[in-house]
Amino acid sequence: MRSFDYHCATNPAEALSIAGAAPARYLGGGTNLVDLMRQNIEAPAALVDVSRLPAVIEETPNGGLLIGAAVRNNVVAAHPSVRTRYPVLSRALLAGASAQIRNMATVGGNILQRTRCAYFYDAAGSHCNKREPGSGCDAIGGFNRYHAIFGASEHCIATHPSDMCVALAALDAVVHVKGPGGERDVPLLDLHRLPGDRPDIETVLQPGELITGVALSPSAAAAHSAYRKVRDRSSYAFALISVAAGLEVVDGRIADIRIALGGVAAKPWRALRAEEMLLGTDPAKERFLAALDAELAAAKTFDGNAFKVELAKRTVAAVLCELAGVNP
Amino acid sequence: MAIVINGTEYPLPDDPRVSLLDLLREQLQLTGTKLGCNQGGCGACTVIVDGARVLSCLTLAVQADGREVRTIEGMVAADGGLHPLQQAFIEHDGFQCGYCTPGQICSAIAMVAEYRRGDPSYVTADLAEGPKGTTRQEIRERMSGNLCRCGAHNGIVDAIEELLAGEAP
Amino acid sequence: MSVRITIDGEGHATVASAAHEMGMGTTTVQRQHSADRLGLPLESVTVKIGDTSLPFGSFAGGSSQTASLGAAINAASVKLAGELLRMAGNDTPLAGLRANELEFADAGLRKIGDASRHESFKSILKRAARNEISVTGESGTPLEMLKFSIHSRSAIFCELRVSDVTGEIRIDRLVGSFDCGRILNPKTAASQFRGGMIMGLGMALTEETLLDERSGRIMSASITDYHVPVHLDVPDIDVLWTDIPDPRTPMGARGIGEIGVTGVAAAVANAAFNATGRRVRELPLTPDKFLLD
Ligand SMILES: Cc1cc2nc3c(=O)[nH]c(=O)nc-3n(C[C@H](O)[C@H](O)[C@H](O)COP(=O)(O)OP(=O)(O)OC[C@H]3O[C@@H](n4cnc5c(N)ncnc54)[C@H](O)[C@@H]3O)c2cc1C
Ligand code: FES
Ligand code: FES
Repeated sequence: MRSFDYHCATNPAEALSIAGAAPARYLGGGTNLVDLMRQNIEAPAALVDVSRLPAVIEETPNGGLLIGAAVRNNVVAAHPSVRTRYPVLSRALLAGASAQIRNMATVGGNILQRTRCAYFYDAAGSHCNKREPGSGCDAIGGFNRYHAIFGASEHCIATHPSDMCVALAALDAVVHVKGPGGERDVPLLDLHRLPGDRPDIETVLQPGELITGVALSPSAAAAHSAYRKVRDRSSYAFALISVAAGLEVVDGRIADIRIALGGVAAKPWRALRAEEMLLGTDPAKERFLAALDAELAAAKTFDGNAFKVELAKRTVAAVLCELAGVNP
Repeated sequence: MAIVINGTEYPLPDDPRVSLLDLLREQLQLTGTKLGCNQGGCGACTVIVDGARVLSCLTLAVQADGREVRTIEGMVAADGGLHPLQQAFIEHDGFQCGYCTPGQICSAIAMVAEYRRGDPSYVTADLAEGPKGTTRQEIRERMSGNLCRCGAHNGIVDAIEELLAGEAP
Repeated sequence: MSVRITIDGEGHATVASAAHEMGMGTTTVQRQHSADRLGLPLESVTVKIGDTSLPFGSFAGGSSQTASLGAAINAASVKLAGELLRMAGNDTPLAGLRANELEFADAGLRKIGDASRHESFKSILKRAARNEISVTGESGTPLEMLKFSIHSRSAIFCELRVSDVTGEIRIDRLVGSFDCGRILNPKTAASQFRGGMIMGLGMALTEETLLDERSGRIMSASITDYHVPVHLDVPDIDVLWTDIPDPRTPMGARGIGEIGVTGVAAAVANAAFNATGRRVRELPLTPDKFLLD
């Protein structure tokens, strides 16, 4: 690991001013950044520890929740309001990593964790445009079982590995950001970028911008929601695909529906086309499958990940059937 | 800047690159905590920081400033003998080579506290209600962050089940 | 494989060999074996291994260490009896006996089946004014191994579920039945069998080395990418064994180290076939291979 300066910030203003003075990176639980620094994939000159910033989960005036960026993943997952009003978020967090890692990982760090593509990690012997722009992408034509079926480019087919973000995407979460230029709100769905020709630029955040929290609005679909993760190992493994969904049925018709997919793109993938087709219809398995066929028609697969289309379709349909209480 | 390990205060390293794991093993000769993968993938380095189980390989020692760390060296019974869970590991043959054992034991001790607090896990059916009773599936899911290459899983789960069945402290 | 047995003036035995322990229970089992063999209580035996300054030991592999170490201890103990008899001289209850008429018992030697003709190690060494006696014994490939094909056998049974949505496999129950000759220590043997079977589960379900032929790089080179089973993958495992001593092996025991692994992947694949009607012959049995029509 290259040497770096370490600063611990006690409030956001202090974090911003230290980060402004030196080209620095923020440090949450370190579960991703410390690993990448040890592999020499990242080598920041300074770290500003933001894991000790106030870490609270507050009720918001509109009846939602504001979750501080420094709150640890397990604390969010176990919070009574999250468990009852946003079960999809609690379950998604519990599906991720291990208890030890969830005790360390922060909400801010989870959002900005980087891909687990094995070629990205193999600095000693593989090409990766994300790690080294212009060097090529060995995942194309290589092992791409875990890779994207949506929104990939000829430069990069990596996925975003977070479980939490898939739930946040389904919940229409809004990310609060503070930067040298002031504060702004970014919908989680707009935060991560698709690779295009610059896979090394992964989000719309500017250097020095600090995530301060994530806001959730209340909704019936959020309270009636579920998360399902499909993986090669029963626990402590990243998703092959995952599904976050919420459903509100009024008088036998779908009044609100949220479907987000994980493990399929460089960002959590909101299945907007399928949602649109299903809104206002009465819930039935055949309709779910047809809507997903339409959504997945845009998928572009590779040798290793072609199975994800069928897998995603079935898993989403099963989750929706369960939420709707209809025959699977 | 200081850190308390098993009740004793130690200064923190000057170099922020030193992980909590390296501080324990290389600088303080507390070699009970093991290095498996150094990348968060195995759980061998699990220690308890301010009551929460964490991976010492991915924790920078400076990040533990002012915190209380418990390692396997600090797991002793009131009479100075083995911790009841250590005794249960011996009785149920919860290890073969023993390399994962300190991590399994630290992890399990903190896990039992999470369980008693009613924290849910991925296999908890009703999240709002929390875990019902103690099932082996709950123990298994909650312990899945600690790998064991020798395959001592059955004995480990037996030992933890025994600890969970005992009186809460 | 060589073993040195040393008995000191207090009658304590040290059994030493440059063998090694990876958790199989080598130290425990050889201590029990030596104590049995030398007629000593367990507390009076120390086993020293894991140091190349000790008498030559071969590797722990091919499920052979326990048996060959045991054979070397037996060889050394035969020598020990002979040397002790010589050292005892004529002033002993053993006087006039031949080595093949002796057995180890009660921390010493006696005429086979006759407690009245017994002398302790301590007393023999004291009379000879010696602090200790040390002998080295060796075992090679036993003659039987050259003449016979000697193997352990197992039958593995598996109960599992396959998700008709995702193709994920979950193992509910695993039973292994083993024929490995005499079982020297039931506790460590059961752990060896279970451990082997769990490695078999990894082979069946998750473990895979991915070699990228373009670069020669292994793309599952880290423990994060190479999936060994986690707690949640491992069901309760029952093990049973015949415990029929093999007349052709030292101690009646055959190897148990690897036999646990071998049948599991086949049992899992057969059970998955039984559940789904789909015959998959390529390991590991990942969900995509069981996305059923
Ligand atoms: C073995 C292993 C298995 C895992 N399995 C899973 C899994 O199954 N599912 C899953 O979802 N995740 C998994 N993870 C990833 C884990 O969830 C992330 O590493 C974790 O969420 C990152 O959070 P952190 O606080 O530790 O981030 P850090 O490592 O501290 O930081 C990550 C990034 O975020 C930036 N950052 C942190 N906080 C802020 C902030 N407030 N504002 C701006 N930038 C910030 C940092 O600069 C850095 O770039 C796994 C990790 C490991 C090691
Ligand atoms: S050494 Fe820390 S998780 Fe493996
Ligand atoms: S006992 Fe050897 S790794 Fe667990």
